[in-house]
Amino acid sequence: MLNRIDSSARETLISHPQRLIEQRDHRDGTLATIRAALPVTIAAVMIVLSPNWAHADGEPAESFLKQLRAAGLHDQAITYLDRLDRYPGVDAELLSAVALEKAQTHIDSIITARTASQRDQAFDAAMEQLQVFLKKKNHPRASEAQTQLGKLQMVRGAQLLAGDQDDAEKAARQSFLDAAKTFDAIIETLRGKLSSMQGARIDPKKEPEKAAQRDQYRFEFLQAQVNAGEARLSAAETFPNPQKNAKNLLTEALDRYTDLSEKYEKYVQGASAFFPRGRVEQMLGQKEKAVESFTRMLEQPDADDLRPAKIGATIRLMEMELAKKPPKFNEALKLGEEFTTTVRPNERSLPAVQDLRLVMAKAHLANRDAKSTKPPQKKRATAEARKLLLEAKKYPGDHIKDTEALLADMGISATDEADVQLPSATDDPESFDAALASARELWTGSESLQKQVTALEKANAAKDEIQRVEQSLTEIRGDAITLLRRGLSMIDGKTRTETANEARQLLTYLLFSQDQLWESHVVGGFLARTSPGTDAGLRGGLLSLSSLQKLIGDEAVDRLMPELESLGNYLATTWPEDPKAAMAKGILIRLALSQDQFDKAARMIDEMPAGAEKNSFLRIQGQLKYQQARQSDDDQATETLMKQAISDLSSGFENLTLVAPADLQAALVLAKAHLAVDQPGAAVRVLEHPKFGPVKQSKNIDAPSEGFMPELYRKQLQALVGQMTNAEGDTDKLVRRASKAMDDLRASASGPDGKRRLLAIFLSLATDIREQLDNANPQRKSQLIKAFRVFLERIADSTKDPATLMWVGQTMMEMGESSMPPGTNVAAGEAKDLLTMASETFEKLKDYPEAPKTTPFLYGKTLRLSGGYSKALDEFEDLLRAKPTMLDAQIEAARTYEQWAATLPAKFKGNAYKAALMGGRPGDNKKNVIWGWGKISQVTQRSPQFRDAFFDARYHIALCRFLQGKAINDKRVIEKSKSDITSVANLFPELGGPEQRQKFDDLLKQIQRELGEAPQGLPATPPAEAQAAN
Amino acid sequence: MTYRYRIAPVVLCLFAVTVFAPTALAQTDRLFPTDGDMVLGKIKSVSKSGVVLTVSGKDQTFPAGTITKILFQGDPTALTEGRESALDGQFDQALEELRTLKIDDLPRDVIKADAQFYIVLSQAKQALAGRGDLASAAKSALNFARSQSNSWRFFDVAKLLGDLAAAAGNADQALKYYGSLRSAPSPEMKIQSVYETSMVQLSKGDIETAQKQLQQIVGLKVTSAESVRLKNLAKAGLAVALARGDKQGESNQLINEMIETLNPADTVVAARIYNAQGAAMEAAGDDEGAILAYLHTHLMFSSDAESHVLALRRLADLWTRVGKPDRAAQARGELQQRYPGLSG
Repeated sequence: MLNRIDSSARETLISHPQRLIEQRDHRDGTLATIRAALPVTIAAVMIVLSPNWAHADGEPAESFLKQLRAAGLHDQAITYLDRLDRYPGVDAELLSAVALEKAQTHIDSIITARTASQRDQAFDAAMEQLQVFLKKKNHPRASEAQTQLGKLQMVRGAQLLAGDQDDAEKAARQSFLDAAKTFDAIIETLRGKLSSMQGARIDPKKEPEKAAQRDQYRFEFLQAQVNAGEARLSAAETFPNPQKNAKNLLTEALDRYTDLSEKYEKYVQGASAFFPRGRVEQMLGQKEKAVESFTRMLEQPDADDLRPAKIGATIRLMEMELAKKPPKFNEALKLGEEFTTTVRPNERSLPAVQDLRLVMAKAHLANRDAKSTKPPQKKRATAEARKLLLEAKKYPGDHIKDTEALLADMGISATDEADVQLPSATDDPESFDAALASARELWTGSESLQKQVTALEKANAAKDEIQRVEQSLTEIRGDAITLLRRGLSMIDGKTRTETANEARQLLTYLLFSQDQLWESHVVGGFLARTSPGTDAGLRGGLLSLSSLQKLIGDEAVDRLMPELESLGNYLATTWPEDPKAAMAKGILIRLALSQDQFDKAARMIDEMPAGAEKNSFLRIQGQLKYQQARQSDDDQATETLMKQAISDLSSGFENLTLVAPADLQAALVLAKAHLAVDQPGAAVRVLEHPKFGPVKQSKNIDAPSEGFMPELYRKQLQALVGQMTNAEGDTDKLVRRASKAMDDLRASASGPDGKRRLLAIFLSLATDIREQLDNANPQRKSQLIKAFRVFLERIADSTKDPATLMWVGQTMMEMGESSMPPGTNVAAGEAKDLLTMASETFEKLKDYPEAPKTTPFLYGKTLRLSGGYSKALDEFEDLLRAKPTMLDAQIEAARTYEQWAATLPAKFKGNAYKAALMGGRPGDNKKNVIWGWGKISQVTQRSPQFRDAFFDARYHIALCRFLQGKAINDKRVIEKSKSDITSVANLFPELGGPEQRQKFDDLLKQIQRELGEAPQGLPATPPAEAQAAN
Repeated sequence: MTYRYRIAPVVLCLFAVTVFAPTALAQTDRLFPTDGDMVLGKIKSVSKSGVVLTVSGKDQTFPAGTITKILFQGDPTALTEGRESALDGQFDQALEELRTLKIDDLPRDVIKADAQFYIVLSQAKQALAGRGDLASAAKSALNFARSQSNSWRFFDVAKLLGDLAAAAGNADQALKYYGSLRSAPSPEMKIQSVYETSMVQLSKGDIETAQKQLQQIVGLKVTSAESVRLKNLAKAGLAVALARGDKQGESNQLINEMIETLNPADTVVAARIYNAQGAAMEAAGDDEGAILAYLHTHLMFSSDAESHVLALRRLADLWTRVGKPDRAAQARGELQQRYPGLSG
């Protein structure tokens, strides 16, 4: 059956206006709901009236009408309907329902009417058109039109009552009576149809369509009965004293409701009718019958559709209890509690629920005012009433006036919503339940205060103001803890385990919030171990674990770690499938990682169930392995660790849905790892991955650190250029993408010191490339150089930005230098080409006024590497005249002399080596602008930061002296070169480290051989004390 | 069933071979005719008359006007995406993609011409929708017509030039460009030439010529979808011509015939029909009827900018005439807001 209470399908048959009228039933006879919901009601009428014409070729009348109405062109719609028969191909049924469509259009226009007069006209016109249409009694839409007419008359009545017309009551009454007549006519029509069907004995199995039609008629029949009663009741309520002036109307209404409730109790309309029946009986002064009707209403099955009527009946019964002398507030409260404790989210704003809150508050206040009530109970009753009234005050409606009046009586300002008196720890709880209820309330209050603290901090409020709120927060939490402890001590055999656990869970949380960590750990741990598998147990356990974790910061790790591990493992094994339990494991893993226990961490990660939590740890682990790989000196170990890092990180990104800044960092590390094992394609794929790729995602998510973006673009650039080495790669496309990465890189260094940062970034980039080249095998190196060269040439052609040109030159130079075979001083072949291009770039750059200051230095260096020594020295001289203490330039200049000397004819060699040692190019003060290795070693000797430069200079002193001696064939000079080494070795036996020491040793042996001595070299490795002294 | 399951892997292998092998071996261009399936081959030659494609060693000719698009081997992604966006009517998105292309760097002349065409098309369509400059779009189109006079898109661009000239109110230029379509190879383009020139003549007030030419199109026996569509457009045009020539009865009859078989999905034709009805009713002095006719276009078939602009303009005038200045102002406001380039 379609409209039986237990049928969910029936829901769809109840139209919105019917629902509204049902809601109105539960109000106190004021029609307030209908008035408040007037536009909604009209909108709902519109929905019902919309026909469902099948599409056909020809004039699209239905769609056009809809569009005209939607655009608010109601007058045009009426004009269109007037001439509809002139258009070809209009559906015949629509043509026959023009009056109904006009009524619809007028109803529609009521919503947009700007004045009362326009609205009245629209109402009249709509009703007129409906009446016209209803003359076609056999039209398929006649029943629909009749129902709408009745509803429109009801709405019109409500609208008239809401207006300020002089004879509003009279006009409204007439409208309600018209509606009653309309509904009566529907009832009679349907009664006839149903009777004829009853005689026909329809078998639903054989004739399902007819059976459905019968169900539909029955539903409409019942609804018309409800509406007919409602219309009479509404008409009666327009009299000042309905019992006296409208007895007939009330009696007629009662007949309808009685008939409905007695004969059709199995249907929603019948079951719901007990409530309006009771109301009418009440109005007629039949008190006992009213109580019986309301009680029978409450005895109806627990169905959603009956809840509003049940709430209405409850309110009426409560009011009757409270009207007794003395007021029976306990009975009233008992009646109301069923619904106040089970109000559903979708019911919170209903007028009936606000009325329920209001009458509940009145009951509490009656309790407060009773002589027999003890002071603590009075206090609690006041708090309850206040709470209910403040809640009701949140929603608009007719209840507001009474609500504010009651609040005012209690001394609460109508505008002061926050003034809710919370329970206190001094209130001795009567029972465990009472304690828990009060604690819940305090907890809610504490959450609100916590938000307040956060808001104040965000707004940079005064410290004392924040402290004041924090103080209240601490007090409230303290009270809640006290109440819960007292309550838990009252637990007995009747207490439900779930409720007791809820109290323990709340207590754990509050203790944790108050930093009472030991207590929190103990209570939460107890809860976890006594309630395995439950949600409360898990939450308690997690709080306990968090407390321990916080304690570890203060207490000895060794003492607490076993406890922490034990609890963590217990949670993970007791709730193995729960992602929250995986968090417990997470805490253990973090601890293991923080103590560098990588194997242990890896084992625990492996044991975790697959999912987001495990993946997040794999990402952390992968990054740590990458760092380890970078720090390892063992090539094989490095490779193994890099591969493991790639594996962990790749697995960690599987099924990642939400990307956080830390994930962008992890993705960058994965790309770096791919680059480290020469997988540029994979690196690009990671960086540009649509879900977690930082190139794309960094536009949506904050970068994890300030330096992240430049580093990202550096790596992207490297990866893209690396990809260019792939024979199948689309070089043009890659160059374009790499150029874009360059642009992004430049853009990432904006801001006040952008220029300086950009230069630093470019320097790092050049170093990255050099590192990449130095680590590559010869074949790979050649491929990389080729790729970088293509890219750099494109960049150089397309930019005039000095910083970029500088980088291009510098990278070319680095590549050129990297291409020179070890031991050679002058570039040849491809290296020479690269260096030439670099020096051309620097030369061009020198003309830029904003060229970086290091340009002459780099230019000089490229000249030296290309064998242009004289010109290189000119550059260094110019630079050092302006800035004599530029150590890098001094070293470069000394090296230039030294390397130049090696290429000169024998007769010039001696002087050239001397210049490398003693300097050259005297300045205006006759002192050499270029210092030479001698002065470099003197300047750097005392400064630890130049330690490497000092030993290098000392080495070159010895070398140049030795070569000078050989060039001029002077044994004394060669002898001197020997003492250059031995003297420094006596002072600094370590000689700047094993590598440098080896160089000294080799040179000394060479000198010794030249002098005809045994090539003994340096004394054996110095003892530890000497090393320490070094 | 068992048999089908057993052979499935083999079929898959064969599929893989046929799909992957040829692309790796030879240059392939993919031509999509307006009727029929995609044809795979190598472009042999291109002229304003059409394209010759070598398919499996044999040459096939596709006349201009019968090709929807060609995907060339070596197309950069931006062109592929821009082309699809343009063909989908997403012209702003198309331009965004196409502007990233460096035309000179494109690998083949046909690709260069294709990229230029879609830029011209998108700019013109944007301008015709009131969201771009008509003059600069016309300049780009003219440059294309001059520099790519052997493109198979030549006549498409001639049509665009006609549209742009007509939208700018330059009837003589429009007649010249539309007239050039008569030498196009496809019959549809020839019909289009007659239709467009007659509509320009109608706007110039040469009702007699317009009516005569439109009548010619209406009398044609056509089969292709595009020709049928053009015939319907011509009927709508003819209805306007008849109404303006004091033959309201014939005009109404023609419009009613068209409404009876109206396809609401073809919003361009539908808008032209109701605009024709509006014109006919205006000519008959039925302002309310005309307002309702133009409201059909405005509220239901507004996707064709040209028709929508006309409807809004007429509504603004008619509402003023029937004493509803606030609605007239609303129509003008919408015109300015939606079609800033065409609201003047």
